Amino acid sequence: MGSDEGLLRAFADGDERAYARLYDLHRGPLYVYAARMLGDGEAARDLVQDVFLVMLERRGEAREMRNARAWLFTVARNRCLTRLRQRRTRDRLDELVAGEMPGATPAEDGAGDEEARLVRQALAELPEEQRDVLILREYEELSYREIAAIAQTTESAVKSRLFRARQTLGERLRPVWTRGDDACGARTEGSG
Amino acid sequence: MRCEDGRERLSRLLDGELGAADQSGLFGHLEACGDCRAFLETLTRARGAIRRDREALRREADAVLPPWPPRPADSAAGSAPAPGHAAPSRRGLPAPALLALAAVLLVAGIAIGAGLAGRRDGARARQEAEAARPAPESPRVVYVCAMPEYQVVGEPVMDTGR
Repeated sequence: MGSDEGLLRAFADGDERAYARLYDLHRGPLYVYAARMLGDGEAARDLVQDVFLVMLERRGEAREMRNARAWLFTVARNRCLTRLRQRRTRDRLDELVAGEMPGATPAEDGAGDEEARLVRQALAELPEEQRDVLILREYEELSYREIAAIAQTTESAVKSRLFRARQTLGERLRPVWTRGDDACGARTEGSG
Repeated sequence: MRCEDGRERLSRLLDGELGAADQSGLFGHLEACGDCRAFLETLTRARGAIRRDREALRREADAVLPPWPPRPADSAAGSAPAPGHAAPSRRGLPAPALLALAAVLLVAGIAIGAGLAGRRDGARARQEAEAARPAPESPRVVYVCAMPEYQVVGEPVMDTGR
């Protein structure tokens, strides 16, 4: 899966079913990306709707699009960054840094998946440009090339940002998990 | 190999982007460096947590996003649901069909309007003809002619409703 060229052509020709199919294919991944970028499920939901409305408005350009996923993620990314900028100006970044995830399901917030909660918190603390590529890589499993196209940068810049993001993530998580494992009497040493 | 280089390679290894030659150098470093092994373990563990988080979010997406795509007229996500995952049939109508439907409705509207106007015109014509017809002789005139000797100036005229 990836290019959706046939669907894009049909969509450009006015085929409503192609539009519905594109929505069905990409709404979930877009929601995941936006929810983790914004840390807000409600904002992510609105953003996904906005992205598809933009796609509808630009139906005429669909014939020139090669890759629906890359196009949709590019629009989603730009909108996420705009929203984050707006949020910063309202001094709401503190909420994000504190790891508040209004969009998280109750199951996620519960003690059931403490590891996932810690990862979300560490992710929210990353600089935007690192968080962005890490989400596209780890949550969406996009290639360096696709991420570079979406983030409008080079593949080597993507590689470098991913490395720095993982470095930071590792530094934040390792002491916490080591403490937790020690408390449980478990050791991770020697398992590799 | 420095740990910095080792971790950079680890990052590419996790993405499946590390060539065979670089892999052997990395594995040699990992055997000797506990810190970098711990770094790899942390990232692998984080990846597992991310996968679980992603699945939870996918389920959440299915729950909060409508199954049909948005339209400009939709009020965010608040319009009526389509049956199943398909776009509603109203939305599915191609533009030419909508134009044809609009044309039929327009013609029908004009025809009905013309019919009503015709009926109105007929009624008005009948009214005008009726108005042009000479009025029947007033009972007062008849009364006056019949009995001239009783004619009184200023006598109240009988209201016949005409």
